[in-house]
Amino acid sequence: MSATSRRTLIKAAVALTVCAGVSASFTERAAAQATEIVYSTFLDPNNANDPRSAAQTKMIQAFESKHPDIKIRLLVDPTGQTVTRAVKSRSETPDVIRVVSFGLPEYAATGNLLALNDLVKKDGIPDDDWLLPLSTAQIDGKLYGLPQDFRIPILVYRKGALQEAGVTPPTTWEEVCAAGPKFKQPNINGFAVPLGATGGIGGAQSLAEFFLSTMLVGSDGRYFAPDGKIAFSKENFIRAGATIKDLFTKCKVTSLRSAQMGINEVHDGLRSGTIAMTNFGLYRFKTVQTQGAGDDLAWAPAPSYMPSDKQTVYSYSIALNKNSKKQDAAWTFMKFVISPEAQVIAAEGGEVVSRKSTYTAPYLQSEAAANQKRWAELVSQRGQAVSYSPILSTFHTILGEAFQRMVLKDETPENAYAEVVKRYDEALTKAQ
Amino acid sequence: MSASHTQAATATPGAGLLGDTSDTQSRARFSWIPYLWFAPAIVVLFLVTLYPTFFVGWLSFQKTRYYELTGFVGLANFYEVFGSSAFWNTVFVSLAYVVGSLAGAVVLGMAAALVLNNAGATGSVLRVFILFPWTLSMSVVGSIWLWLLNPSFGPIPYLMQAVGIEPGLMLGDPGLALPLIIIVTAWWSFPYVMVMATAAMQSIPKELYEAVEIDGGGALVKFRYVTLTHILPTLGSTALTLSIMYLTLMTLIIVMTGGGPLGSTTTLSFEAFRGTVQAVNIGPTAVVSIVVLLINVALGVVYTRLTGRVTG
Repeated sequence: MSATSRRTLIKAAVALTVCAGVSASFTERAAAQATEIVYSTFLDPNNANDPRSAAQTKMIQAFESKHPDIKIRLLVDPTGQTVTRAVKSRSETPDVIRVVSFGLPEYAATGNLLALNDLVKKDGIPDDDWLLPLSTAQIDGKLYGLPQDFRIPILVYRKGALQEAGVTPPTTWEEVCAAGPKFKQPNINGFAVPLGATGGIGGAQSLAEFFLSTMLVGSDGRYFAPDGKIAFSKENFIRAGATIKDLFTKCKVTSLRSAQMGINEVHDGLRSGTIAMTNFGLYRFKTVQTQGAGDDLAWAPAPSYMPSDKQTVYSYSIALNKNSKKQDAAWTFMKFVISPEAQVIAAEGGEVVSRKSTYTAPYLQSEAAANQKRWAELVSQRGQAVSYSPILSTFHTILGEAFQRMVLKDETPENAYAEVVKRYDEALTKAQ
Repeated sequence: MSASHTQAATATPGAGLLGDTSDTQSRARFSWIPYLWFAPAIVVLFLVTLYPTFFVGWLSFQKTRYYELTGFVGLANFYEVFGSSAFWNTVFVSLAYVVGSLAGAVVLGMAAALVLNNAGATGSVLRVFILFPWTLSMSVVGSIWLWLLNPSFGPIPYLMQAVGIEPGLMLGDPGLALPLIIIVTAWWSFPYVMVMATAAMQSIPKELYEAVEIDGGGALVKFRYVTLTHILPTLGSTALTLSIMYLTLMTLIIVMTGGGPLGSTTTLSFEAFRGTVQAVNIGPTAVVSIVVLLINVALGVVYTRLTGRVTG
C-alpha cells in the first residue's frame, strides 16, 4: 500500500470516528430527551384474556403518540406488594401508582404521596364532571388520587337457581332472609356471605368490601374518622352483625360453607352455580359470565335495609409518588388517564369509568356497554364515598375473625363489636 | 510461591534471632491474594445472607414507621411478642404443622420407597409419577387442593357425601383446617422423602439381606436391622431439611386459608409475612422472624451433624 493510500485511509478512519461520535452524542441526547416514567398497575399487558389489559395498552399507546417525549414503563404488580414496599420505603419509583381508593389512606399515611389539590386547581380539572364529586375522594381535606373508575357492590345471581326456588332478586335484607327456606337444593348456597381471609389485600376483604363498608356506615356516611379512629356507630355494627348472623342461622339462606370463602371462592361458586346469589364486585361480572355462568348470570342493585339506601362506592385511583424525580411528566400522564379521551378507551375494556362526560361517547351508547352505563347510573344515584382506615388490612383481619367467631362459635354481635373496637384501637395506637 | 518462601523461612533455625528477620518473615508469610480470591464470595455472602440477618436482628430492637427506623426501644419488642398469648398460639400451630407434616411425609415417603424399591421397571415408572406433586409450585398445589376440598363442589366432599360421611366445612372448620393443611403439605413433600430413602436403600449391599436370610430372619428383621439402620441418617437429614422448609413455608397457607379460620392456621412465618405487609411498626415482626431463624439455626446444627455422619 502506498503512503498516499495509507494517509487517505487514516483520514477516512478519523472522519468516520468523528461522525460516529457526533451522531452517537445526538442519539444519546435524543434518547435522553424522552422521559421515562414508571406506572404501577395490576393489569398485565400480556394477559390476552382480560380486555382491561388491552385497553390499558391502547391507552398508553395513545398517550405516547400524543406525548413522544414521555415514555411509560409498566410495573405489573398484581398483588400490590411491590408497590406497597416501594411507597413505604420512599422509593422514587413507581412515579404513578394505580391503587384502590380504600388502600389510599394506607399509602397516604406513609407521607409518600403527593397531594394533588394545587395541581387540580392549576389545571382547572372540574369537580363535578365525575360520577361522584372529586372532592369526595379527599382524605382529611387532601386529594391523593384521581378516580379512574367507580365500583359499587351489586347483587349477582344465577337466574336458574332463583327461578327454581321461586325467588325474585331481593332488594332488602329482610327479603334475603325470607328467601332462605325456598332454597331446597342441598348444595346450593342461597346467599353467600364470605367471611374468609383468602384473596384481596388481606383479612376479610370481600366481607368488608361488599357488605360491611355499607352496612356499618349506615345513613350517616361515617366509617372512619380522619385520624383513623372508628367512626361507625355501635348500633350500626350490632345491626349488621345480627343481620349477617341471622342469614347464617335463623334464615338459613347462607350456608356455613361461606365462613372460609374469600373473593375467589365466591367467584368459583358463582361460576359453578353452587352460589345462587351474593353481593359481589361488578368488575368480576363479565368474567364470571365468560367463565361458565353465561347468560344465566344476572345482576340487580345490592340489597340494603331500605331499598333506596346508599351503597359505599370505591374506585381505582391514580396517585403521584411524592419522591418521584419526574413529577411533571407523571402529572401529564395522570391528566391524560383521567381525560375523556383515555376514559373512552378504558370503557372499551369494561371499566365503569369515572368521568361523567365520557358517557356521551358512541361506545357507551352501544348494547355492549349497557351494563356499564346502568352501573354508572347506580353509582351516581346510590353511591357514597367514605373515609377508610390507614390500617385497613389490619381492620379487615380483625373484622373477619370477629365475624367468624360470631357465626362459628355463636358469639353475640355485642361481643364481636367489643372485640373489634378493642383490637382495632390497640392496633391503631401501635401504628401511631 | 509464597508457600515455598514460608517453608524456607520456618525451616531456617535461628532465623528469628536477627533483628529484621521477623519483619521479613511476616512479609513473606502474608499475602493478600487468597483474600482477593475469596472476596467476591465473601461480599456476596455478606450482601445476601449476613447483612439481612444482622439487619433483622437490629430491627428487633427498634421502633419503625414502615421501613424507617424511628428509635431504639431495647427489649420492648421482645416483651410485647413474648407476652402475647397470640404469639404462643402461633408457636403451637407452627410446631403442630411441622411435626404433623413431617410425620405424614416420612411415613408416606418411606412406604412408597419400600414398595417401589423392589418393583423393578414398574417401580421406576411409578416413582416418576409419584414425584409429580414435588415438582409443582406451592400456589398451584394450594389452588388444586382448594378446589378438591371445596365443600360446595369439591370432589372430596362429594365422595364423602356419597359414602355417607358429612364433610362439614372442610377448610372453614377451625378444628379441621390445620389437619387438612398438614395433609396437603405431606402430600406435596412425601416424594422428596421417597427419593432420598430410595437412594439410600439402593446403596445397601445385597449381602446383608442374604446374611439375614441365612440366619433365618424374615422381612421385618431385614427392615429393622438392615434397611432402617442404613437409611436412618439419610432419613434424619431429610426430615430436618423438610422441617426447616415447613417452618418457613407460607404460600400454601396464604392460598388455602389466609391464616384462618380464627387463626387456626397462622404459623410463625405467615405471621411474619402478614406483619411485614400490614404493620406500621415492624419491630415486633422482626422478633417473630428471629424466633423462626433461631429454630432453623438449631435444626441446621443438627442437620450439619447428621450429614457429617452420612458423609463420614
